[in-house]
Amino acid sequence: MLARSATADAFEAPGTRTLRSLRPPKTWMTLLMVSLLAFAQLPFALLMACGDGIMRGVSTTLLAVALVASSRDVLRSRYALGAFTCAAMMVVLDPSPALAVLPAAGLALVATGAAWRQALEGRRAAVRIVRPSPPVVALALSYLARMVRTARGRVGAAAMMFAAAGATLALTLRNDPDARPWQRAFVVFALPSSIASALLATPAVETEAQLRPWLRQTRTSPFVLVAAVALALATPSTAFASTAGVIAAAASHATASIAWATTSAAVSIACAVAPWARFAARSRRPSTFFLGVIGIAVLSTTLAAAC
Amino acid sequence: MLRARGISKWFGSHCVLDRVDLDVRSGERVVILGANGCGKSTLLQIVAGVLETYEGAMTLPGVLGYAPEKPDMPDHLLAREWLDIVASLKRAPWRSEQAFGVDALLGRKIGALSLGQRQRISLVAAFTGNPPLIVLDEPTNALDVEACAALARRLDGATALIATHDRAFAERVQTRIVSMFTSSRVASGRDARRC
Repeated sequence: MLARSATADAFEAPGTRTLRSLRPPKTWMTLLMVSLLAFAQLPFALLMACGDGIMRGVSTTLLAVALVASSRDVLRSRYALGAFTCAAMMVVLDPSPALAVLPAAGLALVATGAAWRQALEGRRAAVRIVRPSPPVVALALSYLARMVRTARGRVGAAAMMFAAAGATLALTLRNDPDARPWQRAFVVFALPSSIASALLATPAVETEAQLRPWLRQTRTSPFVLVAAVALALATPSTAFASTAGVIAAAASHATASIAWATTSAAVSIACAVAPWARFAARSRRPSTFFLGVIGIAVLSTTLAAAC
Repeated sequence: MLRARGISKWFGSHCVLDRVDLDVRSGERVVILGANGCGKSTLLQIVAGVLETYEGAMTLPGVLGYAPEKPDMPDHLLAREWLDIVASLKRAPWRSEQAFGVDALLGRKIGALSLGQRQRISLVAAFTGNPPLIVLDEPTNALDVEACAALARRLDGATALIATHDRAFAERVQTRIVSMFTSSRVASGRDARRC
């Protein structure tokens, strides 16, 4: 299900309308979509195949495809609801691979066929995120809306970076909880925070570029623009870093105030990445941004280690 | 209201506008007509502040209402959210324009709207905050007849600078028409003067 955010838009990708107008055979399209969704599961499939054999890898992949495809329309299609329920039951019951592979294939085909039929039908409700507010907040909310609605893969990757940092911090604190824990928290979170902020900066900067004509005509000040990007980057970073810090502290029986250190590291790095991302967006070299982020990561790690 | 003198704009070595003069007095609705590529949109973008580098001098009444030729709004936002952002930037609440029929569109994502529906949202955004000068670039593009009539009624009494190819709309809303020609040579309009 981790791959869901990456594959959710496969049925409504650009060009889908043109493709549908060409009336491709439905059987072939379903098989192609199953292959596409299975491709996203390849790392897990290989892992399962290496551990429990090829049949286990195939059946697990097909079940994953059935779950991912049916979860899109579980509230809109009876076929999707049925496929999702059956696939979930198979995951719980965990039958032998030889028994599971054929039903899993059938479920994957039914779920994918239902998703292909339901795609482009109806409207998906979206929760209102942006509200009338001061310009900084309104802009930051619009960047966050972009992250949540169209860059979920990046948000998920950022969350995984912070989860990995939290696990690392928990391990190091468990070994020695009393030796300068705040400093170690800063050091451990510097690189993941930099990478996470870099991942989240792209949607924010792209949205700002799209808003530029409106920002110029309303004479919005550069300070507001930088602050809005920084706020947009700091919001998810703060949430992830504080959560990871609290869990790491609980897991290692260290002081809960470690969460302040992890949060401070995430916020300060987000505030450093934001102006750099805006500056690098004007550069012709894509490497400018990455080099700057690496520089920020190295600098913050060095500073934290030296304190 | 608007006074522009000697406005020139170059894109690289290509001169799009060459020493254009333009006046819009309070209560006037100036319609700019001209062939494709003659620089109408560029002139309007300079007036609206979208293009910031140009030669010449311009006096403006403050923040304008601008509806661009292509209503390029972020697809990921709901129409209501977009209007909230514009209102926040202009520090003024937006009003639901019944005439443009946007109420039914507010809960939908901009990416799911048709071109005409986007244009309506863009027009509501332009009128947000009752700006002293409205700058509209091809406002009737993709609009249906009723929306065009509603826009014409909405412009009654307003001060506006409008570029359009729609002659009927231009005749209906204008108090003065000026023409632009390629290479930005500005010819006389109804009142036989440079614009």
